[in-house]
Amino acid sequence: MLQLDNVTFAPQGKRLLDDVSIEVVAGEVYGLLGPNGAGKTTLLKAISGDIKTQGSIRLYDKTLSDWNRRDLAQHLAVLPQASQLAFPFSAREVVALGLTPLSLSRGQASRLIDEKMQLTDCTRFADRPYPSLSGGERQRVQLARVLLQLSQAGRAPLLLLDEPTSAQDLGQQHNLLGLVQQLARDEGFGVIAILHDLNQVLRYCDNCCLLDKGQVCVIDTPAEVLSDARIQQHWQYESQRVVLGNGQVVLV
Amino acid sequence: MPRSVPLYAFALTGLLLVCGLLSLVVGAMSLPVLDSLLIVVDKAFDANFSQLHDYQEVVVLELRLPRLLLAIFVGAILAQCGAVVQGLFRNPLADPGIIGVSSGAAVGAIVAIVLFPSAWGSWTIPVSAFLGGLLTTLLVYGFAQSKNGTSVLVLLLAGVAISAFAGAAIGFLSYFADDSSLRELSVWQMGSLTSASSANLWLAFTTMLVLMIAFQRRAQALNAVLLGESEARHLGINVEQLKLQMIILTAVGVGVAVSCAGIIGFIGLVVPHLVRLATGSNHHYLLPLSALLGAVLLMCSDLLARVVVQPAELPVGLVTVLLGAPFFLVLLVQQRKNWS
Repeated sequence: MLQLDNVTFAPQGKRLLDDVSIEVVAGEVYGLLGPNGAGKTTLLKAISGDIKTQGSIRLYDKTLSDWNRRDLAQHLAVLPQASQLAFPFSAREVVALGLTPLSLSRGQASRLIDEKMQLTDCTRFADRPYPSLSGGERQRVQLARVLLQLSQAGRAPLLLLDEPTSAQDLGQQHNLLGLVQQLARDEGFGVIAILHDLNQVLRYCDNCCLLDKGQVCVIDTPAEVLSDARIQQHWQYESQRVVLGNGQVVLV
Repeated sequence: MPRSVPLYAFALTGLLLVCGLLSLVVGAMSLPVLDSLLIVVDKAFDANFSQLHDYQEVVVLELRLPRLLLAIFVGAILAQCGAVVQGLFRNPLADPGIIGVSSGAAVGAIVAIVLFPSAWGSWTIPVSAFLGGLLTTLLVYGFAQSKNGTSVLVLLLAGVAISAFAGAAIGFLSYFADDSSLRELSVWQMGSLTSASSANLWLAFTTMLVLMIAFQRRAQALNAVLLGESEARHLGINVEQLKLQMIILTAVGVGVAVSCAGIIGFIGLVVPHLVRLATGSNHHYLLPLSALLGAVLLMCSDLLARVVVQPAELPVGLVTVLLGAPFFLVLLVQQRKNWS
């Protein structure tokens, strides 16, 4: 669904992205990994259209600039790291912002808002002011908003997640990533996620791309990418592996 | 829609009607309520129900009614522009003056008063004020442009700098003005609704209507911008176009308001906050309710301005600041926990 060819971003001569080519298919969770400053967030910004790059970025064989704004918003959404609101909205009003690119009747809109809030477990604090929610609750509200935004996509949509679990406790992290994985499996979402926790990469990603200094180092399954040698080379950390009873590998 | 929204809309409309009626009958000359109402009906439908004397009729139709209508239109324009500017810049302390439009309009008016007082007849001051406001806004907007888009921070700071420069220009022109220009200039700067005429009433009414429709159409986009500019872009909003549209519409709105009524402070700053406290920040309700409350507040301020020191009267801009500034401080003290 998403194809990046030779994407380069070099403001003032500094190559933050250097000839990056990746492909993401519908139904997979695709991890972007790398140490700090590797270019992960810059790459996500390039895909979301926040920065203009050289090279080509195509979603369903159409370059991003050829998409109509509203159509693109219905097929590509970004779950931000942390969202502040300048003036207080209720949680439900924040979710309703996902209606912006859609044309729905009032009844349809209200039904969809309820559905997405239920899916992300936000219903019980729907009427509370957004600023009074915890970091984890806010993230779930934002996820409900983003899912509403993508609910009318004609083809499988692409969801971009920038460190989605940074403000969440352990249980919430796994709930959120589990839900995202389920959306990819059951509804064919393409998901690109920046994740710092390599165990989460091993558990939830189907494929991943290791970036360093703006360049692609390797693209493969997480188990192949995250070898001890690579972790030592790119994160300067000597990791150890523990194999659990169910065969799952955990890095420590 | 929160249940409180229709309730507040109903209450404000009631208040608008009651205060409107009071504005017609209260003043240096007290008039009978029913006949004052009937004379307005007579005028509208060419009937003959009212028992008012001719001189009383003149007071209602030529003096009080135009003033009352101008207060409604200007109050609604300023309050809506305030709500839009605060939302667009995601800054609770923004008001239309902050992008330099009020001070630019003041410079325009003062240039007209001092240098060419009768170039376009009675339109000289309004047209110069409007042009001054629009030019200043475009200048501030130009400063904030870069290849990455419009920087809100630069826009606000350029607005502060240009306003300071405009203040110096006003001081310079005042220094060279003669006594009569100086008096006209200081009265104009304090804001007044006495210049209500059928021409500027139509101008203010049309502007209010156009702004109400244009702002309401972009209410969802303004809501989205509250999340942040890139979030709004990801929701399919052309943020640069929205900013340009809203800034130009605000400049036109405030330019018209200032050209019809001089500088009237605090309506644009305080009214949207009051509405947010009552019904929340959703622009779908914030904009129309701000228009209603702005109209009511300016009308009440003008009523106070007319009756407090009668038979003389205070400039209405002075009353809005006298009421608005302490009120705003109370609001700040109440909200400081949330904003710290």
